[in-house]
Amino acid sequence: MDLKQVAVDRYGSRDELVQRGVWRGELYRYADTDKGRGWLWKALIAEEQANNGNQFDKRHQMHVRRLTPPAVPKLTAPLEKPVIELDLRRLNDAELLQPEVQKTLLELMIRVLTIHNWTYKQGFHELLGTIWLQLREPNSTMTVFEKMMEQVVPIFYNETRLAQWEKHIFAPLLKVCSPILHDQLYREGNHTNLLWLLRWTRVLFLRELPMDYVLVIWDHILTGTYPIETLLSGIIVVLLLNVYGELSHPECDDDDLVEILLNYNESVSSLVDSAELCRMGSRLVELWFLQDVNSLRMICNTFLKLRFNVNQVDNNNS
Amino acid sequence: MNNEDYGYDYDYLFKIVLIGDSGVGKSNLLSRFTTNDFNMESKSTIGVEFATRTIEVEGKKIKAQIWDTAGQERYRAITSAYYRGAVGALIVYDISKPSSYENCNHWLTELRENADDNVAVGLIGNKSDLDHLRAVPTDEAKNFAQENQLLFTETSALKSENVDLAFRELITAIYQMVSKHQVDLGDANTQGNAPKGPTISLTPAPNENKKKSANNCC
Repeated sequence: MDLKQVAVDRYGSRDELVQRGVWRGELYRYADTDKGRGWLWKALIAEEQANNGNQFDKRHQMHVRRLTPPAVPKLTAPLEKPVIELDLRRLNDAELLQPEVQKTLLELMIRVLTIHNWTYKQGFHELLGTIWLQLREPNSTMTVFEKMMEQVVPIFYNETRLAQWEKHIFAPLLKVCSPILHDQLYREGNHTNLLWLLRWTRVLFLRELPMDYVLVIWDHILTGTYPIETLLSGIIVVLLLNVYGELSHPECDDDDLVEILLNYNESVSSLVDSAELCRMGSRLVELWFLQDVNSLRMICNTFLKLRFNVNQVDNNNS
Repeated sequence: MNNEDYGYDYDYLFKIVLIGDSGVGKSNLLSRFTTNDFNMESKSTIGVEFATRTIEVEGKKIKAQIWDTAGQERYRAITSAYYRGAVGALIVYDISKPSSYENCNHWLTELRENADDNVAVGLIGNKSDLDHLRAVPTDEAKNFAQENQLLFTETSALKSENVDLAFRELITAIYQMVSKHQVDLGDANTQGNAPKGPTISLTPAPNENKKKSANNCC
């Protein structure tokens, strides 16, 4: 059964669908997850939008008197239009390369950039293309794209914020969860971890993980009750634990680390189930907010023991 | 193509960076040189990529570690990491796109600002298979290269023309600089003087017992 059928059959409300279906992973146990995602995203986001109102409209309503017609942003082609066109032509999917789809994607991109006053950066196009492939319709594609980008752009497409995120959220969480991996990745003289974190976060794992796997992560991002910066930190920590053996190998040097992480899809031998990844990632986030260091460490140690029969012993814990 | 792969066994490790505007073919030059692949649907580079290939130059096994970066955006946070330790650079433009050639000056400036003074640099006019759409005359680019003491080659990653040559010339130039540096260093030490002037920033081959059979590096 596809995602739509399972969702309709099993859940009476959007909240149930989100809480049980997505976050408890039930949906992925019962449904064929590569079918019906467009419907799922519409159901998850359309209702939320109906309850909250369109952010753009709301923003404008606050500043414009009732008698004044709503301001419609004037669409102007951004300076980056040639790069956007080039990038769209480099999307790796025959359907996305159809001229009419290219034209629609370009219009959508320019519209979103104009409305939000964002500067185009490479990576936007892959997120938009992937969303289009699930929905194949301009309005809902734009809604989901905006929902995604409003979370991602301010942090991961802003270099200063990205570096702060790494320093103040990701690295401290990793240090608690796996001091050994932390010490390995943050050895003095190492390349900055932003080399790989930049791509992992900007295209939300599209380059590192299989598409069906990524889309499950995106379900969680789109319905997230956790701030994306902490949720992604938790997910990335689990993905690193998933290649613990490779990363902690005594002969793994600075360049090897970057190579493994830039080629994650080739480095990983056995990937934890996608719903399980999100569940564990979100659990790490909850415990991080509670500052429950012992439980964080215990979850990660258990993960390594069960999956790889590895005992993570470190100086702080021994 | 003879892909001389010596695995972990090498004498020198040279870090080389690829720079140039978005869409000029940097990633395909990298894949053509390292794995002899060309991807018609090459994706935009997000951040950086890197790959390696080991070749033999003047009897020495040289591992070229080639870093490829996104052309659209400059990442201040990773720029220093990108250029750190680089001993060679290829500035790439598309012979059919004049703006990509005009921007080579900008790329050269960024390179000079961030990399070692002695970094060896090559100018690459890529997509030479698009000669019917040529917008950058070969002589003009050759003159620019001469004025700025750059190696110069026109390549086609698509047709696999001159790609090996361009990388080999650069790697050979780096090797010759390193050899000269070692001779100079030897002379200076003989005379009891410390070497003066900028030194070549060579990334030492790591973990000698694991990866190196011989270390002739300074």
